[in-house]
Amino acid sequence: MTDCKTIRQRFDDYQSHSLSRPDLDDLEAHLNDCAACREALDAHRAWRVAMAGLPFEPPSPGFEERVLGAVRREAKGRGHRRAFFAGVGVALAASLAVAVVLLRFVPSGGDGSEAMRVAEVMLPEHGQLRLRIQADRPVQDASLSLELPPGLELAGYEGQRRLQWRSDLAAGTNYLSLPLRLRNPQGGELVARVRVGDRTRVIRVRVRPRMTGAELGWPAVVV
Amino acid sequence: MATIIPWKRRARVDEEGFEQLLRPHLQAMYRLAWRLLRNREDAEDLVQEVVLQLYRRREELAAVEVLRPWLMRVLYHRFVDEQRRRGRQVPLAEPDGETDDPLDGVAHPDPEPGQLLQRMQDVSTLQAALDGLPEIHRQVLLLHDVEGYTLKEVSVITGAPVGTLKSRLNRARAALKKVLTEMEPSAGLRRVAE
Repeated sequence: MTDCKTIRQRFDDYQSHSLSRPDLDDLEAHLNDCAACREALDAHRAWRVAMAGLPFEPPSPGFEERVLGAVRREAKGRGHRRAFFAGVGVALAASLAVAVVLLRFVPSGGDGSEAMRVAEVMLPEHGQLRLRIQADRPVQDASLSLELPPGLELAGYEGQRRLQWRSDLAAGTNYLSLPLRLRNPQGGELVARVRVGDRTRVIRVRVRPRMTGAELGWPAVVV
Repeated sequence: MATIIPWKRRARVDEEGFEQLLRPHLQAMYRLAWRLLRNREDAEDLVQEVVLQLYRRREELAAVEVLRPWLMRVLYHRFVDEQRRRGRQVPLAEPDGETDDPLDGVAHPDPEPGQLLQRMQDVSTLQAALDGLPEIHRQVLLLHDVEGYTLKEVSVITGAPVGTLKSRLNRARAALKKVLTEMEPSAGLRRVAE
């Protein structure tokens, strides 16, 4: 007869129905003849029941939808990017451009990382760029900074190359509207940074001049 | 973590297909994340990050035959990476001295069964005892005894060989029993939601 130690070692496989036929027959024959192992099996079952019954804190309401919603936003962003590159410039014509920064904030502290995205928009001489900042939860005291290249100015802050704000962010979508003035035919690349704790998200937006019209559209881009 | 999938088995998974694949597993992913992190917000963040990471690699999902352990593997490794980045030791590999002998730990004498069972039925005591174990023991107990993954599945999730896990599980159970018998009843300090 197989010894008790070996038999007890098979209890997990026995309970998960993964013993081979010969081992199963062997174990059941042993249990018929060994009261101590029957008792050990009962104790083993009680252990597993107690462990499996440990409670956990359920997720917050709407958890699944929030998770899958982030996937949808990601998918949408990628769709915009494809459309942008396929559009070869025509789709870029607009006076209102929206560049999107998607943010995830971990409240217990950041990792010091700086994730970067790149977008490209076309604006008339006086156009407006909107940065869309997605926050999963309210964020207090986020730092928003802007670096402007020569030839690109923020209305009301002419001549300033670096600007900085501090603001709270609401959970969900937050917009930062930037009325821009293009002062040269080449446009330029601005850099926007959103910083929370030691976590930073960066978007570089290449702004090119649009020559005619003032159509509204959604030409921009998540990369 | 590299996953090698034959090219011909790759299939296009769109956003809707991805949701259909993932949705049935989200609660289990959250549960494991919560067990590992013991904090709802952190657990939700971890699942969110993993799901976005998976979406970017969604073609791999269609080729995975048994999805749940594979998902848990991705989540577990993400957890370990994050903990290590924060300077916490999370031993995926067995520590020195751990053997593959599945009979390790069996020799530990069981405490008096009635007393042990009584302690185990007090969930806060049991949780506190579990929380007090070394991380390597806590994790194998969480995965196998609490979440109910088989040793083969735990092997997929953690990357450790089944023989090593058997040995580790026995040692972990012996350690938990020892802690439980040494604890005062209702010694658990942290309460979790029912």
